Amino acid sequence: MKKNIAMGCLLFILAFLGGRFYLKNLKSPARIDYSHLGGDFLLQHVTGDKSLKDFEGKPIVLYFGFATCPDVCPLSLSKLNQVLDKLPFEKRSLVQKIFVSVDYKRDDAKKVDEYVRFFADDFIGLAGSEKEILNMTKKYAVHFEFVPMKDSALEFTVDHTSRYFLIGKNGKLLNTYSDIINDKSFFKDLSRLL
Amino acid sequence: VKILFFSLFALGITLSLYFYAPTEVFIPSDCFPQDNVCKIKGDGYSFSFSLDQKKISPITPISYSLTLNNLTAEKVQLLLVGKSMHMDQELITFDKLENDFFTVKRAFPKCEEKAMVWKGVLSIIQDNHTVKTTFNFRVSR
Repeated sequence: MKKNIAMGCLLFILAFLGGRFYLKNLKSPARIDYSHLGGDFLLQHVTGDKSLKDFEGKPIVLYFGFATCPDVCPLSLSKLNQVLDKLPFEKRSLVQKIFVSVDYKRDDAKKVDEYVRFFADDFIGLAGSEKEILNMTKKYAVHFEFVPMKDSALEFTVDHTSRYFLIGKNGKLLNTYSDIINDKSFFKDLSRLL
Repeated sequence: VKILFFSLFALGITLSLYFYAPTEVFIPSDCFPQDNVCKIKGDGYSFSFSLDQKKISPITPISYSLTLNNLTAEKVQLLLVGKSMHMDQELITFDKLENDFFTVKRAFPKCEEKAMVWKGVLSIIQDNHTVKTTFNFRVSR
């Protein structure tokens, strides 16, 4: 009888402490789970078609913009260079930087390639058809919209998501960052992959 | 005896849930922090949320500040959700400068010609208790 009472009390205490431990350690997530986003794509580069698999084995930093983007894209690409410059040279070259133009109406592979080379020789600039761009932007939850500009020779501009996507060596999207200068987690996460 | 063991085990779980299950309070707000400092009061809690700029642009990072009046927090997070588009979400974790003061500086994740509104869900996280409220952010170039 005594043994049963002791056993019952022990079970009660274990259940209470176990539940307490579990509930106390229920923390709010430090980051959003982006595992439902990302995936393969097929777009055009000046050297031919490129898919995500072509970059397997390298961490990728992906950014969406367009070649006639007046300020946000140049600033964002410069910021990326600025952050990557903090890496030792031998590690910097292991990172694949990819710029995808969402402006399928004006940008082709040649134009995007010329644009990204202005920022770095190792930048890969990709363009695609309407279908290809819509397919990829949907996968990466990238919003873009053509906005008419009445008094401009460009006729329209493109509102778009300004975010850096960090993709692991296996092609899986790991995280996204809107501000890689002030948000130090980008550099930490990238360094961990190298 | 087996039923007694099971009952004691269930009682232990139930009591731990009663005392330690995470709780949440939501204080409704539709404040635009770029217009005014948002002073939020409700359910016995009081805090102020502000930005360092009147105009939110994707080019210039903004500083968010939260001052707690009668509560402390372990962690403060802001979840940004674009209301009118498919762009997923953005989670910003604040830096704790003092027990009652949190701040963070970030750029908005969208290049905009047209103005749009983002919804921000602020979570003030204590031990096992979270106070939540919402703000609106009007973003334009």
